Amino acid sequence: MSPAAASPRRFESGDRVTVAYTHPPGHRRIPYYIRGKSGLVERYCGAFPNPEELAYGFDGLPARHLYRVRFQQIDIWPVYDGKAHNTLDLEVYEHRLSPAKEDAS
Amino acid sequence: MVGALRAQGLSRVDELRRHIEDLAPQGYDRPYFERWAEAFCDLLEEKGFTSRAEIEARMAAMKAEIEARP
Repeated sequence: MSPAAASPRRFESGDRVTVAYTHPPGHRRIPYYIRGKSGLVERYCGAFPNPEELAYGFDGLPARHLYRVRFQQIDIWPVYDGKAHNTLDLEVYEHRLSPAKEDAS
Repeated sequence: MVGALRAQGLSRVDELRRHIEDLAPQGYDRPYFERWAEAFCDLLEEKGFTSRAEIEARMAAMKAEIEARP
């Protein structure tokens, strides 16, 4: 069973979210190409010790909420030649996510 | 050794992953387990369990021992 998270989760399946466009130093488990992009929460995965803390030998607690977010490939890449409906699923921790603005891509 | 450290709760896969990603880009084309061993040396040193110098001295001693065999 997952360890308890400190706070209730902020997002539900179907919510549109944006990944923070930030570049903090250190071991950060979020790909560069997805920073600043928006997608839909596909599912809630549970709460897990923060791997960015575990990587430095700390306990990673309180656990962080993790979501599987579905992005449209055409939203991610400057030039995307594949099918318009192609998607990418990526698991992202809540501390990287905020509610997407209405007009965000 | 990696397994022993994990079983004792002394290190986590996340720490080794960080060290693998911290290796110099010049080493990216080295074989997977060489990069892995390199990163593990860094982790052992960081945790104060041993030093790279100690590991290299031991490796040199073992190599000499093996080469001296008839």
